[in-house]
Amino acid sequence: MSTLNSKIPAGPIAEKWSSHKEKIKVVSPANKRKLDVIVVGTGLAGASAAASLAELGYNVTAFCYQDSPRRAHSIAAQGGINAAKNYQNDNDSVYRLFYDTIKGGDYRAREANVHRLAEVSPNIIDQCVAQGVPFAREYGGTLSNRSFGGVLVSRTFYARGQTGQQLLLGAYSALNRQINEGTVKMHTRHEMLDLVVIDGKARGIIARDMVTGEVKRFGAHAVVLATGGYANVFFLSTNAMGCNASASWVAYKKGAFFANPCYVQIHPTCIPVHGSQQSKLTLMSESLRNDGRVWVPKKAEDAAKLRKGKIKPNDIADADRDFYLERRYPSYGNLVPRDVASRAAKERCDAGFGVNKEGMAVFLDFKYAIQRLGQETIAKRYGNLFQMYEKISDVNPYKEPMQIYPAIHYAMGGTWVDYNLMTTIPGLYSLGEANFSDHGANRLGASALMQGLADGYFVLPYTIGDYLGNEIMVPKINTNLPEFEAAEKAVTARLEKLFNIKGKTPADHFHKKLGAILWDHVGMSRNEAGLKKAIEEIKKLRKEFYADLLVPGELKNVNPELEKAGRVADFLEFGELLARDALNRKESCGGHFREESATDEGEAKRDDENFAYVAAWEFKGVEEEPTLHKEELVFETIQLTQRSYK
Amino acid sequence: MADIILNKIYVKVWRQNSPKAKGRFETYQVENVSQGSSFLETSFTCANSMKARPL
Repeated sequence: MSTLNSKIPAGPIAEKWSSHKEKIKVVSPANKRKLDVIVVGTGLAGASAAASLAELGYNVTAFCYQDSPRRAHSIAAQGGINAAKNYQNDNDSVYRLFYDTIKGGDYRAREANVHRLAEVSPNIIDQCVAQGVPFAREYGGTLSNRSFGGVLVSRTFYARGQTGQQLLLGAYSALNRQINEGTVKMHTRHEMLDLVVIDGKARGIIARDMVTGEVKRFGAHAVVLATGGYANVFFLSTNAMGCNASASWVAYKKGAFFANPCYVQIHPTCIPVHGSQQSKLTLMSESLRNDGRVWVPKKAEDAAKLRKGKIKPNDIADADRDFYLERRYPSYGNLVPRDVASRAAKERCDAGFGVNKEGMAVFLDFKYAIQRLGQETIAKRYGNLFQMYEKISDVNPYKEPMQIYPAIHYAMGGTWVDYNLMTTIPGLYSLGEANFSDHGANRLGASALMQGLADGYFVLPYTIGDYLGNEIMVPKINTNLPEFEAAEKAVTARLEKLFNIKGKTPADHFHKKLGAILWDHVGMSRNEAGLKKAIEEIKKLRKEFYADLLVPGELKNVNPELEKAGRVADFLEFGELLARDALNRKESCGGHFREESATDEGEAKRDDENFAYVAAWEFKGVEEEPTLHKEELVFETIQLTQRSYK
Repeated sequence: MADIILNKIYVKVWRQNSPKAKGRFETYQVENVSQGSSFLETSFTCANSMKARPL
């Protein structure tokens, strides 16, 4: 059985990474050429890792399920990327970024990883500028910044409201350069369906060619998962329809521990759910809270009139508006972290102050910023977001406040990794949103892009050498070994099983049901009875799925329904683990709010004595209870205090 | 949740069994479509409604 060894280097926090780099193995160029690395997923983390490893000289084979790495969901990130550059001379520093991230994560992240993230953050900006990423600039040519939630400085670099897209173009062009050089072999429209483990080490993957349906074997000396997060387990989320947890899930089933699955980010500013058949939610960037003010009516009767459409938001006088974030959190105001802003919105709506027909929305108002700065400035900052909002809601946000409501957005939990980003399976790495390590129980805005690129450009390229340095005598991995044959057979058998149920109900139906169970009981507010109920309901739903699933089409052909069925089957198992983890963690922290653990003011109340640990789960069988392993979180630098943004 | 449901939405779907097979359009009447649905969501509703049959 594996035991958790986080391999955090000794020494003062600010020296851990540099001293670690001095000590870890380096592979010679002549040996790198002999080593194969598989990278699964080519968003920001995967593309940057694949490009960097190939540039170093490794033979890289990369996979994505999309038509092109250009389609990875990283592209949807809007607001920006944090870096401790202190360009604004506002007293920012590596330490302050480190501190803000630990505090924002409600003291549930690993100090050493977070400090490293803050240390490499300035390099990311330099790297991206060198690639030609068009970050916003001031009139004089210097890079511009804005603020995001949970911080008191301006350290977010951005490219209008499409920062993710521009960063991805940078990483994608670096990747394409390697593809052209022949150092990366790219397999698009391939979905990883199993991990091959030989003598305890990750040695390859089984992937399905989504065009022909063929199931194929790929071997390598190391496997890197950069496959994103699991937010889509909730069905309704801001993630792309294709986002899924299957690669991480098969790795979990092969022995990679899964950490903190109950930490899910609910983003406060999304376009509210409308109607009953919605399949996707749209995020409105957190950057909007720089200039937008969040409010609901002070009087319940005004809220009731709004819901009935009898008055318009602009009919309500300023004095009758409750800017509840500014009221409750005077020092951070509208820029409190996401978990805090989300719960505050829910609290107002539950109290009867919701402003749309469903009573599940609050206002985000730009009237004041437009008065202060002029419409042109606001259009320059957020023009594309305003246009997107108007297209979806048919309301012009220059004239009338936006309606927003929290929605599932990001997964802080993920595959457990040590300081080198290696999972509990030797030779298997996990990067970006797919791992658990840097955001604790709540991620700060503009930190996902930072982490994905830090892992891919600046961490893995060093740390993977420490493992591969011991693999230089291992010849090319032979995919005819029995372990490959067994894994391929298992994948084929599973696909046939799903295909041959021949029931009446398509996969989406089960996915929606699962999402509803999770949103109701494992969403913004959780309690013991609800979580236990969720576990039972998920088990029941899983049975129904295997009794009544319908997969039309053919096995050996393009078949989106078959792809979906596999992903939903995994979500039906993963959702149970999510609920179990939430049940185990009896404290509230960050995005995980247990009703049993709240302060008198309704804020999340941590229990550091009993829960200052990472919960890493070990697979024991689908119908068996997983085993919990605890990695104690040791805070050497930052003192634990109850988080306050007041 | 208050929701206006539309029952007379017609969609033309391109059907092709495999990359080299001959394809054809089929027309479906989709029922029970929420007014708030996007075009893609309407097509999901169509795909998920096993009652939908080509007209």
